[in-house]
Amino acid sequence: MTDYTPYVAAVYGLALLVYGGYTLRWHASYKKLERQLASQSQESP
Amino acid sequence: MNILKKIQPLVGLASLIVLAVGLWYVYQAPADFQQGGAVRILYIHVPSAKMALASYIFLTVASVLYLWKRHEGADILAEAAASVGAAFTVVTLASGSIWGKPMWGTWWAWDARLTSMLVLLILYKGLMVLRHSLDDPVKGARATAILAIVGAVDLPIIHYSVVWWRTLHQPPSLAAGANADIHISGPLLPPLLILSAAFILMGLYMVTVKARQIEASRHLDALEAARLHHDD
Repeated sequence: MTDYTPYVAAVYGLALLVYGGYTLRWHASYKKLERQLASQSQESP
Repeated sequence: MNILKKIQPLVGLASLIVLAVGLWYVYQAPADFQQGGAVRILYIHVPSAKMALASYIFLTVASVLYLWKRHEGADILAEAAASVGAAFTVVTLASGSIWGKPMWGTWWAWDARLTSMLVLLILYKGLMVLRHSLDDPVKGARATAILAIVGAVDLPIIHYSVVWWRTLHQPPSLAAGANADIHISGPLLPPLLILSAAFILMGLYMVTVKARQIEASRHLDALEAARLHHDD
């Protein structure tokens, strides 16, 4: 029987990369914006 | 949008738990008698495809609400859904292509289902580009909402493409009755249903993360604009 493991691994790896990657990137961007917002509100009275 | 802050950790935790259970079922599931181990690709492909369509339905509803009520929250959710939907569509197309090579003997075929799904990805990317191509954010939001509503015509085409036309793509995997010529059933079904539930939670979590990022970005832009105006 044909071994499809490389195809299966490629799909699960891709899903992890896309879903995990985007979620972490958006979360990191949010945290950075939150810090910028905090410093802005400290600057302005 | 405070509700997003409240539900985000709960939805994130729930999606991780259901995802772990689903992957355990995938590990335990037997190989299909025709597809062998390649059937495991469908546990990612089918939920991703369903979420790609669900994200567009969510985006369309948010766009209608924005045009009707002019509520910025609806526009933020629509923008977030476009990014999340694009991610699900990319995985759907790529996983289908990787499954297609050993099963169909080709990475790609211009059949109705694959082509209409590619149109969906172009729509998502088009909405993202259109929003930021206009200088006035309100005009950008309105134009994006109108294009999103017009683009919703692609949804029934995608869904019924395998029924209306003779396609290389098989009929719906989870359909019952006359349309279920080839379907996933028996011990192959639980991992698909559990991962479908996990992907719904994961999609919700991704929308909340992206929406909060967009909201913070807009807030910062507004503050900087106000500061520049004050300096002038």
